[in-house]
Amino acid sequence: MACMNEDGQWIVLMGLLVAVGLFFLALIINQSALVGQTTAEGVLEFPKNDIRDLREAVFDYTDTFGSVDNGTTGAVRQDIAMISLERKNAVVNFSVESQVEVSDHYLYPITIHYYNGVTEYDENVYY
Amino acid sequence: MNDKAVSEAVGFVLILGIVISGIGLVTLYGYPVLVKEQSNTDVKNMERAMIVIQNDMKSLCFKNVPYKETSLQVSGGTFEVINASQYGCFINVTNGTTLFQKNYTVGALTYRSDRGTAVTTLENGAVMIRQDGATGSAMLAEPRWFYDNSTDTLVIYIMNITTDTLMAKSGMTTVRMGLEGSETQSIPVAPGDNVTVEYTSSPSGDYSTAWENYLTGASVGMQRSALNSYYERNDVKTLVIKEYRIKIHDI
Repeated sequence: MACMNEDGQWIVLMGLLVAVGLFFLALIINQSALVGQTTAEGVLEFPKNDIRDLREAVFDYTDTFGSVDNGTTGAVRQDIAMISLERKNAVVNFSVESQVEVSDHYLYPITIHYYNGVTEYDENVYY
Repeated sequence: MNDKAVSEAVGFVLILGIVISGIGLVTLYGYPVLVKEQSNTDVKNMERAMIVIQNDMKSLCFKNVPYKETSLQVSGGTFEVINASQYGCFINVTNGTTLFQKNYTVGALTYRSDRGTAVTTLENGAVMIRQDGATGSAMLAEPRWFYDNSTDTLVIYIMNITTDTLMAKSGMTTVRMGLEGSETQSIPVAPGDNVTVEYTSSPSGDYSTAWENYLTGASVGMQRSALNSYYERNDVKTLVIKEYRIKIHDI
């Protein structure tokens, strides 16, 4: 073994370094698949448009009926709740109080509740 | 150097002996470990694939998507689809009176590992795992049942899987599924009455532990009743049951 040319040993060393590097890279890639899945799910789950649709329906209702509470408005509120349940899979509830003065404007205080099992949204708004 | 008593033949035999013993040890102990590791990886991959299919089913049911396709690699086991009418798993729901009492069948997508004992099942929107031959099970991904505190509403989702024929496959698979239809029922619950859910597991696999942990957990908040596999919830004013019929066209 004596007097052999040992100049090529760095190749073996580099091979080892690359192997260790690949091992850590594999670990990181393994983790990233999990992260990617949960993140994508989280973004998809937030029902932004559903909440906007509900707010629009509630504001339309307020434009038409104001804070009147009788058989007709009760039926309309029930219809909105049923349609939300059927189409958006969400339990919703809202109430409109009588007008109050806010900065020289007369506005209806509205409370909106939305829950679809993942996202719970509650809002108090003057309209 | 003094080279007396150094035999090339003895040295060769010694080195060869060490090499052969090394190979023998690896074959004896290393190979089973490798196979086990491979089987664990296959099961883990399938768990992820099942969660992906669960998300696709959620898209069908909750996001008005009519049709979905998912490609997945089934390795180290078999993936099968079982029709709701043949699966034998029932979820019975009552509003606490005899006026409303209904049995729902669910159907399932199941993966059975060839080399290991793990069985992964997608049943009624929940991904669950159990070990064959052992009692007990765990839920990997939950369905979306919930109780709304503000309106005292309990919402129960039933996902009924139907197929034209029994299907099983391993290797590259594309699950093609579509929403056949859905029904919403809103049932009033009288004060003092408890909503009761009874879970009867399929003869092919017992997932009652996973369902018990889910139903008595925070999102549904039911109590285990005196009778076995009966769960109750009080303070419910409205019980909503949404039943979706999902058809698996092909795998």
